[in-house]
Amino acid sequence: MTKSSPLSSPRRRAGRRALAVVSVIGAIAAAIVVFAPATTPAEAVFAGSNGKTGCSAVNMGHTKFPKFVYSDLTSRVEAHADYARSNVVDQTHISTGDDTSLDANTNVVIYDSAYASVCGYDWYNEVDGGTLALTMCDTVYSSGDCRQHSIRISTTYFSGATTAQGRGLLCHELGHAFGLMHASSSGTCMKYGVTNPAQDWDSTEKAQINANY
Amino acid sequence: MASSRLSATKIGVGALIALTLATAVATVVNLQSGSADSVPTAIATSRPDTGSGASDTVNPGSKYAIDLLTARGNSTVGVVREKTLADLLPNHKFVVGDSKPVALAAGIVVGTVSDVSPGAAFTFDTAGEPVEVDFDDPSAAFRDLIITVSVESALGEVSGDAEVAFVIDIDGSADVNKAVSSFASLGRVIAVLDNPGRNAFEPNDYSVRQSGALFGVVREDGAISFPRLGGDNGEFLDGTDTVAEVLTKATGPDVISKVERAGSTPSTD
Repeated sequence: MTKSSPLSSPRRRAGRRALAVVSVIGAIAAAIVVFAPATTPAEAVFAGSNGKTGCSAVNMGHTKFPKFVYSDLTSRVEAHADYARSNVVDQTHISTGDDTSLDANTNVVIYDSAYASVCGYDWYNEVDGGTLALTMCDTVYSSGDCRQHSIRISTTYFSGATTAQGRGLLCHELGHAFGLMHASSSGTCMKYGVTNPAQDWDSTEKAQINANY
Repeated sequence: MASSRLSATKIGVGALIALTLATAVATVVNLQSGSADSVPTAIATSRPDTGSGASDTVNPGSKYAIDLLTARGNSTVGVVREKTLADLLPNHKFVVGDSKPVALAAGIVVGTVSDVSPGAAFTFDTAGEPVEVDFDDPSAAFRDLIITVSVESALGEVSGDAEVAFVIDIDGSADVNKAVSSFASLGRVIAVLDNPGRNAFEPNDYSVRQSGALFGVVREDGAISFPRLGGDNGEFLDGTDTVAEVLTKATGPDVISKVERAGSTPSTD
């Protein structure tokens, strides 16, 4: 009876294979570190859950089944909000619904008015242009997710905006309400500016939404 | 032992092959990421940026101020009448609908920050209406800082002034003391000014156009950058990227642009 070599025993062979796998994974990781564009500034797509509230906060929502309240919206803003929910948000893992009343359990509230001062932004006027809409996270859960977002839409702008501009604008603000950041590409409604807006999120943004809800 | 060395050699060769393959994979991924419309092989949390010129001009002490400026407007969208910096020079007028020709900016100032003072601070009541609070009240949703610049060059309504003061807003979550010292350390700056009254909370002061986005820094060689605009500002500066070029273009002939009513503009995007 011969003793098997320690290195040729099934357990040792398994250990050796494990070591080899670890080495390969390590090599791949090293290669990714070496060749990743580490010094290239990147444009953030998704804010994630960050506990932020306030005038400039972008924070993801808490649920994939958010309840909406429209706070006495003008018919045009309401129509554009409906369009963006059905054709953009509800085409992802998120499924929006309506809340029966505005309370602490409402996830997204949409207001519209002829805003002039909210958060100190330069709101839209016909000569200067300016801010058309703002999304804020008002309250957060201890987990950092936003409990309630509020969206404010300028009615001053909507008096002359096209349907495409209105839909693009609501697509943009709903993106913020679910955690999307601004984009520089014209291929998404998350680009800042509304002259010729896209009316949908791009594939990267949808992937982020679907991965997080 | 011989068996052990052989195994280690095999493992090493395997790792080398894997490294080579991973290099090729990583290179392909990098090439793909250069296309804005490419479908990512993994879920991306960010897109490659087109440049970093703005951040190159910021000194370390002023980084916090730049971060605060950059964060403002993260969750807004708006109409920007001006496509380029040249559109904001005093000799460029806009006709909106049937209005008289007007310059969009009150003026442009270049100089050194000489003072940073607290202005007003606001929170919101339950109806969402702004309510003024003490500047250091932790409940403030946003605060105004009054920036005074010792003038090196000034155009428009501030032409000839030795000092120009204007208001900028920072978010309520900002560290106020850190913000004040950081803005004070910005050094040489450029600000495109809106008319007094554009900022509803400081109606007697100039404010910075695009809700503060056109507050930039000036490098020693005169190069301009507006960090909040992101990237290298190339599209916005459009060749007017030094103080000298701004001053030269401001002496050119008048330019009149017509803008249709409402949301459309000749300039955005």
